Amino acid sequence: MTSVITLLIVVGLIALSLGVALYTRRSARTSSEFYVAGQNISWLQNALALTGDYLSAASFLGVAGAIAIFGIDKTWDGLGYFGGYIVLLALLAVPLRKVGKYTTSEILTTRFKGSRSLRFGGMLGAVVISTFYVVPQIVGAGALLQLLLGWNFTFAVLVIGALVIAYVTTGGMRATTYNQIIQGLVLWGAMFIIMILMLGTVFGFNPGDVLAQADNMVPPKLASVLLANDPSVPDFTTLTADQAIAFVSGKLTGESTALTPGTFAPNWMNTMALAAGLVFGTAGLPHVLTRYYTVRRPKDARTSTIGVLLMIGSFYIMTMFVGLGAMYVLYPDLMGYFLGGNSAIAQNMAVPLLAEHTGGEVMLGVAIGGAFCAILSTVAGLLITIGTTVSHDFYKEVINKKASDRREVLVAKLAIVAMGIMAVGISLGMADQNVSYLVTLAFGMAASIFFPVLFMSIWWKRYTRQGALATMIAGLIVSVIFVIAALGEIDNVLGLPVLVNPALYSLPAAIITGVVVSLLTKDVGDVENFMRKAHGKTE
Amino acid sequence: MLGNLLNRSNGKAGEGNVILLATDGSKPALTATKKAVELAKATGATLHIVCVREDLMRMPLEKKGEEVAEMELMGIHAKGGEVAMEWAARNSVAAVLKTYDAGPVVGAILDYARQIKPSFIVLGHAGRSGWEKIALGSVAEGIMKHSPFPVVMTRGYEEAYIADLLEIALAKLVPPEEIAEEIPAVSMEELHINRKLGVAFGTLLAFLIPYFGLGALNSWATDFAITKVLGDANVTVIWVLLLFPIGWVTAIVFHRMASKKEAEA
Repeated sequence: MTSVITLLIVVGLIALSLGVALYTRRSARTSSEFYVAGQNISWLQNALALTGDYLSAASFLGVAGAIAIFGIDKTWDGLGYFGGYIVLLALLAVPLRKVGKYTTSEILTTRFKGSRSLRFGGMLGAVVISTFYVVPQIVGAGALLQLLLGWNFTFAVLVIGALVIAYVTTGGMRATTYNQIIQGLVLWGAMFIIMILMLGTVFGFNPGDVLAQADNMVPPKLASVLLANDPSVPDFTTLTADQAIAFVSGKLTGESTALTPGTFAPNWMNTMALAAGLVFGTAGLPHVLTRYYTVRRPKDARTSTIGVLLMIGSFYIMTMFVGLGAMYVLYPDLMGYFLGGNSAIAQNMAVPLLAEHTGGEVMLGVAIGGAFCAILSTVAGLLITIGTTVSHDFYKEVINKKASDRREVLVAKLAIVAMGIMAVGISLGMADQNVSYLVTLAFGMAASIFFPVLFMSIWWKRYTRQGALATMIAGLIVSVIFVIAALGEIDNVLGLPVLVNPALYSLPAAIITGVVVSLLTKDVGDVENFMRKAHGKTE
Repeated sequence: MLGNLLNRSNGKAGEGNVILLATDGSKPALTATKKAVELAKATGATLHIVCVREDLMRMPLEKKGEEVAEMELMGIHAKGGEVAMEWAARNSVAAVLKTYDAGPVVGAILDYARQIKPSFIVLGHAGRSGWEKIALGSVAEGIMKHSPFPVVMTRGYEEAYIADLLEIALAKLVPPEEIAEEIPAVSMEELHINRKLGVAFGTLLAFLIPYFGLGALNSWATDFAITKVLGDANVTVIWVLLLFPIGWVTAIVFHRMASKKEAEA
């Protein structure tokens, strides 16, 4: 259990973040100054809100945490999360903004009017993807509370689940967008401070030294598996970093180092599956698509996305150095956690532990507080997206067309509570998983369920209603089967090896199914008007 | 007392006295409207009416949630400016309407006030308290705090007092906001979909080729991937670090190309 100072800093940072967000939201109404020029910075606000939405526990804890245990191979996560925005920018951002619809259900039914099955499919896909995205956030929060307060993981997850649901359904919904803006800045700043402190205190401000040390280390995850039953393994907690690294390197001569690719994704199929799932997944994430609602002009959709790319690109470069540095600094701790059966902490807690090591209790507080901010903002964004899609796209459009706004908001809140409870239940079984890995699975599903159907709807005139439905069904079924198989550690499904990401199978399956069914059917929907909206000049 | 304020003659020379009414079409604002028109009629002042549309960054559900909560305080959401103009006309009061398409609400009201230099500002207090006030703030209190002009504030509302105004307001309710279904009148050929897709894919490939190239390198040329090229940095590390600036350049080039094409169109 950590000190009172750390706890106070965590609580203070969260309160500050929420307080500043509230103040910003409030000043948007009550500021005594009125600047017309303020409208021109909306793209920047949007870029920050998108960044706050996007940088989740997976990015703040998971990416650097995964690099700390697997090495350079896990930079794929950051690269893919980054590259996904380039795909979104080039193929979808502006057409989606021009169409003016922000959930997959709405976009599809704008072209294929009145299709209940597409509406239902869109809602189901959004719920499945978002659930898989919320789960890692709660797992990360549970591990944080374990570290911060020494709580049991189950209890920690139940508490955080209750808090997040209460936050979103009561006050949180009113200021979520402004929270994202502040929290985007908090996360970037926290990672920057941790990196500078680490470089200053351990590596003499020389990033080259980080790489030099990395090239001497066998990644802890790999080493712990290879040394699991070795009786000569010492108690790592009694060793210094250099001693622990020397012992493992001596025992595992010739093994991969932290700079050797392939420690996580060991062959081309796994590597390409991961790369494809990540880079095409962002463009199918419901909460990312919905965020473009707040962009005022189509042109701002592009400038906002470029702003996000600058923020998250620099963030993921930092995570690479922080992750490799953390591997060196925490080597004995990480080995000790893995071999001692405490992999929940080893998988995700490298950033807070590194912060404590280099900046004491204060920096531990900053790291944990930053992570909580990440979790809070991302889960809020996800749950609100789910609330929107269930209440508006499904309840209002399919079940009860005459529902009042009050009723719609109530249904949204009930959906948020139900989904929150479901996510907490799933999280309880995921304690030992790296949160970034779990998020990559959500990306794989988004890449298969939503990206192909959105891409083809927006760019292909010959795409049909039946083809769209078939695309989503194929993407959903194949990706869910392979995700469940991956989590269940099943080696193959129907003779196909189970990979680290489902996208290598599910993305082509969705595209091919959609193309074939479209070529066999004729209902292209209101294609001309849809294309005019998506590609006409409306700025 | 209000007579004294009017005698200070803050209005612009030659325009007589001016009263500024700020309204959002809610029941508390209707109370303020009635009071402002009464005062303007009694003193022969010109009534300036200012309406500010809040244009905050909000997701659809955030917006809807706020509107549902706000309705408890507002009671009605009418086109406040139009209601006030009609009520002023019925009472033979000269009136001018000014609308702002974006806030901050307090800032916009004061911006207009500084332009017309009113004898005083009239507005209604919705009665926000507790969490609502902390989260959203009170426009009335903001005006009271920052206004360089005297402020007349009406608090809450009484149905009987505003009954006649409510009749007008009910006929001028703000309709649910619909996203404009603007369909550009162009032929399919003029959309140049294939050309746009070509530009998008062309620039995208500038990133995707090195991106998947890294996967190919790591999978099929592992010895080359771990060859040190710069200090302890091997080919993979350098490749990873280069992919980020490649992505930034790709995005910026795409943006410039797309903007240029749009300008040409």
